[in-house]
Amino acid sequence: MLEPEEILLHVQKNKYGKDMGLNIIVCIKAVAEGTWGAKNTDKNFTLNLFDRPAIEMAMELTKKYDGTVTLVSMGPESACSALYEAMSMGPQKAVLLSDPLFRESDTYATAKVLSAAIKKLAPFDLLFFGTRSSDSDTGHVGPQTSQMLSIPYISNVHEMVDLGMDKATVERRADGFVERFQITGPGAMGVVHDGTEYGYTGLYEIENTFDGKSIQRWDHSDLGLEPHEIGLPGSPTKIVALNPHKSKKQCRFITGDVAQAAETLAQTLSQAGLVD
Amino acid sequence: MDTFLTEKHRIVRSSVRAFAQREIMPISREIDEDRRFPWEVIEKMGKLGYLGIQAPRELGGAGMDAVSYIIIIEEISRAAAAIGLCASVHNSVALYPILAFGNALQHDKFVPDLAKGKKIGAFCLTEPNAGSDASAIEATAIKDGDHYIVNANKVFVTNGGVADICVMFVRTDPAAGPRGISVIVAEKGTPGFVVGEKENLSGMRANPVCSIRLSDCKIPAENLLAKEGMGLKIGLAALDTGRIGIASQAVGIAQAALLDGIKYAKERIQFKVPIARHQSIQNMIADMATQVESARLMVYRAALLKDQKKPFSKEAAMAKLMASETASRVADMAVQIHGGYGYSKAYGVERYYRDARITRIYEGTSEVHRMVIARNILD
Ligand SMILES: Cc1cc2nc3c(=O)[nH]c(=O)nc-3n(C[C@H](O)[C@H](O)[C@H](O)COP(=O)(O)OP(=O)(O)OC[C@H]3O[C@@H](n4cnc5c(N)ncnc54)[C@H](O)[C@@H]3O)c2cc1C
Repeated sequence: MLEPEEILLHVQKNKYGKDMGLNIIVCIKAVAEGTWGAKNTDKNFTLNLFDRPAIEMAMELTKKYDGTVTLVSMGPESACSALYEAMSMGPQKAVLLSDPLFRESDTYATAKVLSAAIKKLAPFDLLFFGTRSSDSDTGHVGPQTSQMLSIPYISNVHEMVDLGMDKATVERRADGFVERFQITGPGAMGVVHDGTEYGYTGLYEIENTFDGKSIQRWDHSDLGLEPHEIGLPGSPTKIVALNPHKSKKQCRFITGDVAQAAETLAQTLSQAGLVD
Repeated sequence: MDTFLTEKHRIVRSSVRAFAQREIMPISREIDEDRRFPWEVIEKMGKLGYLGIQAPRELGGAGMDAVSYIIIIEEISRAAAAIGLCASVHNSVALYPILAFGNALQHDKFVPDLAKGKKIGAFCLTEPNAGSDASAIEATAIKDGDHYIVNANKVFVTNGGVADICVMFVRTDPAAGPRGISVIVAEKGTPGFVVGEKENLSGMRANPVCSIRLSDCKIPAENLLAKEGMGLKIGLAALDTGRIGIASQAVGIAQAALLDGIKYAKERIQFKVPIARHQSIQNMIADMATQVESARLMVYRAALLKDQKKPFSKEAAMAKLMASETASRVADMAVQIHGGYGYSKAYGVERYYRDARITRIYEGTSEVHRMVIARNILD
């Protein structure tokens, strides 16, 4: 648990021109290339697609308010490729949390490792996560980490409405509503894509990334964690079985003339709640 | 292959692949059928640096190495070979000779716009009577004060319909034979610069390959690259680099054909099992995969040698020969795996088959490549 005085909202300091500006930490994940269930062959790691919006929002904010974006990722050495990929989107610092003892951590143990690293990186203003990961779709890590840090977490944030003094105002979408929250910093959030154009990393940015930026590495002792807290021993969840699942398909043919068939199709989809 | 890539190369690959698969793949069939040059994609490619891959950063380029270059060309060609062709010709045989042989003035004048994709480049060597025998060109550039008066009839100009800046091979000394050939940069819009009709090609249909005719075109003498008489040297240097690009284009086509072949073989059921269970199909898949890998390795080696500033001419020629013949064979097998559907435009393999064929012809035919390689070995 962090003491309140350990965490200062740097936006405030920055407004008076005293400090180094906004300090945002973004947690990202390296996932094996390909679809769910792809073999984890310790290579071909790529940045989890759902983490991109978080990095994009962090970069936008630091462009506006000044400051630093630090990436944090737990994973094997080969996960560096995802960190580099993420760095090529602009973040200035990156830490890889890598240790054989971290292996087979479930989301709880992962959150332990991440929160330890984030404490080490404090003070900070905002902590961002992607909403989920493309290889194991739990969505747990963000909320669990925030809980361990005793800071608020807001999911599905699509917009930072305002960021000032000691407060952040954000909007999230849920069940057809737009909710607006105000939190005092530091706060954590899961960032979703706001529907703007998907950004590709250009060659210029990639070239900049490899211009002297390097990745810091921390293991369990750097984080002051005991072996029993992490990896398999520290994971309350055990995967008992893992089997592919095929969902049942129902097929109904709509016949008749085209206009009529289109009308029937529209009605059917609408009744099933698939279109508005 | 991954074993040979640096972290940076892998990131280049994943970012270009994401772009090519999302922005180019979905339109690849339509632009082929409509013979449409997709400006909307080309503009994005310019912004991302794909049109100035190896140009120095001071001149607006991305400042990357040859290995990055071939990775990018392969990925784009995998999605649409005609766009890969545009990028390859623009980067290697149009931009590169200006960079390598141009002076500071010419760099400032031409490179930034090309590198950012604000202008498109072309390479004009082939003429009706000069194909494999480049030294037979008849185009002339006669000095007239601070200008050259240029007359040329160039055919099969890749990007010709959209090119703003043309690297043009001409005779500055008609009496001097091969030593009388020079290179001058011709700009669209110069009076007398006329672009012909688009060629109705078998493949590469989204690329506006055209003829370009210059009639008494007055081009400033300051547009001449290096010195008079250096033309063949510039041409050979450009083609050495260009060959690596065409080779990686061929690898891209072959890779697309391989993946489509694998996918179809797993899906298509005949004799109650996926056809991938039949040994003949397995043999084809094994041959295709092996050939694609070996072609790619050769292309990487040539690019790596170039990055290490070692001689790479023979290796580039071998890679181009191997990759282009591989692309044709692999695309042919992919059609075979698809059976009758492979011969239909409903599937991509029919396009790969047409696109692959030209890689054995342009930037030097397979026969010419064998000559180059044999000369290198026997000399
Ligand atoms: C889509 C497309 C794009 C192109 N883009 C460009 C471009 O951007 N710029 C440009 O300048 N050109 C371009 N070309 C032209 C291309 O490079 C030439 O077509 C090629 O070099 C072959 O020349 P040719 O067609 O005159 O064939 P020829 O030279 O007439 O060859 C005919 C046949 O004879 C063989 N042959 C010729 N000489 C010999 C020899 N000495 N020994 C053995 N065999 C020989 C050839 O290998 C070939 O099989 C393009 C062509 C196409 C179709």
